[in-house]
Amino acid sequence: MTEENTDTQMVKLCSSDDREFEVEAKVAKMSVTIRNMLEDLGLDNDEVPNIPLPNVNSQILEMVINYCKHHKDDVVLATDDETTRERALEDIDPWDQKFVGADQGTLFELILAANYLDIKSLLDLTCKTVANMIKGKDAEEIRKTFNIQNDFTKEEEEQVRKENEWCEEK
Amino acid sequence: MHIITASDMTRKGQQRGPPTDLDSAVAYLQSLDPDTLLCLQSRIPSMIKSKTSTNAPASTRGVRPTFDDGWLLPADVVHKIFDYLSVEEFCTARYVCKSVYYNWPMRALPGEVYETKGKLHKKSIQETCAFLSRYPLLKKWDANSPDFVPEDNSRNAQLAVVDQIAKAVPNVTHLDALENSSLSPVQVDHLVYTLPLTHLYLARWIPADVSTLTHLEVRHGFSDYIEAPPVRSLTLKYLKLPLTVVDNSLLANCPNLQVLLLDNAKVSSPLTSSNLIRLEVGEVDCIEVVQGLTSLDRFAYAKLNCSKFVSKSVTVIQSGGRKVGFKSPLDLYDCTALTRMNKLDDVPVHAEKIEEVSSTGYHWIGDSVLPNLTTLTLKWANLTDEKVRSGVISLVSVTWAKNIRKLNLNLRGVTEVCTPEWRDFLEDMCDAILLAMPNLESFRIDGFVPAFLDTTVYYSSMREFTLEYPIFDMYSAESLLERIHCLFPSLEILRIPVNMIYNFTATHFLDCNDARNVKYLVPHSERENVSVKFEELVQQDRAGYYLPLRDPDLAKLFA
Repeated sequence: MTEENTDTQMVKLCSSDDREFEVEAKVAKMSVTIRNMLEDLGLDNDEVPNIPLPNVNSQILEMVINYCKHHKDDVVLATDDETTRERALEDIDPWDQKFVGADQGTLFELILAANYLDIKSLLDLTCKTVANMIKGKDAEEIRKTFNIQNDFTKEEEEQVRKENEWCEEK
Repeated sequence: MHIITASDMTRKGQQRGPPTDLDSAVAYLQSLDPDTLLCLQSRIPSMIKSKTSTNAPASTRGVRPTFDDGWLLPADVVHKIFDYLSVEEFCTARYVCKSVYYNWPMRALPGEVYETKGKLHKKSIQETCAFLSRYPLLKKWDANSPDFVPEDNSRNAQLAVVDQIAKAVPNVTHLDALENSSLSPVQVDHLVYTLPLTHLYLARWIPADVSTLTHLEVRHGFSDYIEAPPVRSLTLKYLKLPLTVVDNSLLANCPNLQVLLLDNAKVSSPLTSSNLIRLEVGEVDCIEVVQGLTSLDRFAYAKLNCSKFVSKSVTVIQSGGRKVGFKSPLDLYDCTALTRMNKLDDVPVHAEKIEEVSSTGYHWIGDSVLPNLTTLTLKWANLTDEKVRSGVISLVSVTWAKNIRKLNLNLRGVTEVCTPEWRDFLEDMCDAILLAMPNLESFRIDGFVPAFLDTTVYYSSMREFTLEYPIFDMYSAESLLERIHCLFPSLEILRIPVNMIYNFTATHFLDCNDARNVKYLVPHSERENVSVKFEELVQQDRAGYYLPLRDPDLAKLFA
């Protein structure tokens, strides 16, 4: 079977809560994990392969599928890691911004799912979003952003300060 | 027949009390009637699943991982997040709460924090070690001499210092820029040593000390007494001592050597190694022969003038500015990448596995055999029309050119291109090259804008076309686009310096059917990697704007 044919074939993705999603192989293959599974299974027959994804629940899997559908035709342009990293934080496509604009819990679940499914662009996007939430903020602002209580004692804070001194010192 | 329900079973359980251990559970099961047992049997798998699912990852339980949960993110993901941030921002995050502090410890630090170069210069060795001991998973440390200033104010780390460091960071495997006059039994696998390494110093280097060493870089001096069996990669640079030569005793002492990089080194001949897969040669006074490179997959050199490559051997005779001609074709059996071919202009290459070649010459083309070549970079400068013509004729004549998928043609140095005669000639040349490479998927031309006026065929495989630094703009945008589209109907990525083409506006793309397949426009150089989807431009009603760029938003996109 040619690469083109296998891309249009449908595959079933089964979430941890036993919901099944039927998607084009091309979409599913954006996940390296799934691509490897499909390669292991082989796609030489007419049967729709069923891929169990026990680490992803249906809500998150649905989001991941939407993301992959939206980006399935993206052209991956060559990038230079060092030069792009600087501006990369601000460089988020409006659709992507909306996509990761849900609550923090969902965002962190998307990170875990992207990591498990090995979808580089989604992992980049979600990590970038978290980095953006931290960037330029002091500790108190980060606490506010993520609703965290400061549980350090004064002495402990001093200890952290001392440790950080090594990195901060020029 | 009585149908057993969940409430029945609950009642039974309540009557007898829940079994608390395995024996009593089994006793309880034995007391049940067969129907109940069969019913139980069918339910046990789902019961097990529901009970064990609490140990599954957070995403399967509906528990939302947050910062409060102590960063349930895997370490590599944390690392990735902080790759986008500065070291200072990482340090700030550690102040946030204990959970972050303990679960995102320094061991998740991005690499640059390890590069303590110059930041520890005021610390004593005890403080330095105390600092390092907080990084238990430290693997790479670029610690230049300013970091090694023990109490005696010496700028060199002493043996004891290195020992202490080795204890403080047992996992360091890559230690860079160690400038001491003696080696300690530090267990690393990657060592860069910057002072002369001769037998005088090697007396301290017992074999056990290098049991983990796989990468050794030595600068300024070297001794063939070195015995480092595990070393797989050896870099020798600036070997100035007259007696320092690289010869077979060295290679024999390093039977696992796979990568040899020589720069400013003397080599006695012939070198023989059966395991080398990569040989890189910088400025070398004299390399005679390297034999037995049957598994070489990468060969590169800088200023060396090579002379002869014979089957299963590499023969390099002379350099120092004098060029000695090759006596036979270059035959690199398993070589997959041949770089810096600048000095190989006259040498045909026979290499079945080479996929990528870069060259400033052309003489080699005609007699070379590169059946798997897919990427060709030609940088032709200061050439006469005869030379270029010869090069093009060679390209057209070799059968393997049809396999090339990616062509980078750099003509930026051909200054004569400004004259009308040259322009016509280069037009013909581009047409001829395209005819010779019908399967091109990516074509980048630098320093010249071809108009493809005489080409009557089209190339359905072409996906990517790049024009870089055209030195004149003789064509209007419309005619250029028209030709490009006719030639490359399936083009997806077009990189053109729109600001250098006369009267070029977005309208030319958006209103022009000729550009209907182009999905991305990358207006400047590749480095900036900015692209615009045309449909978005249409949606934003910006079709009429000049791309480079009067509209501030678009200008930002292209900035």
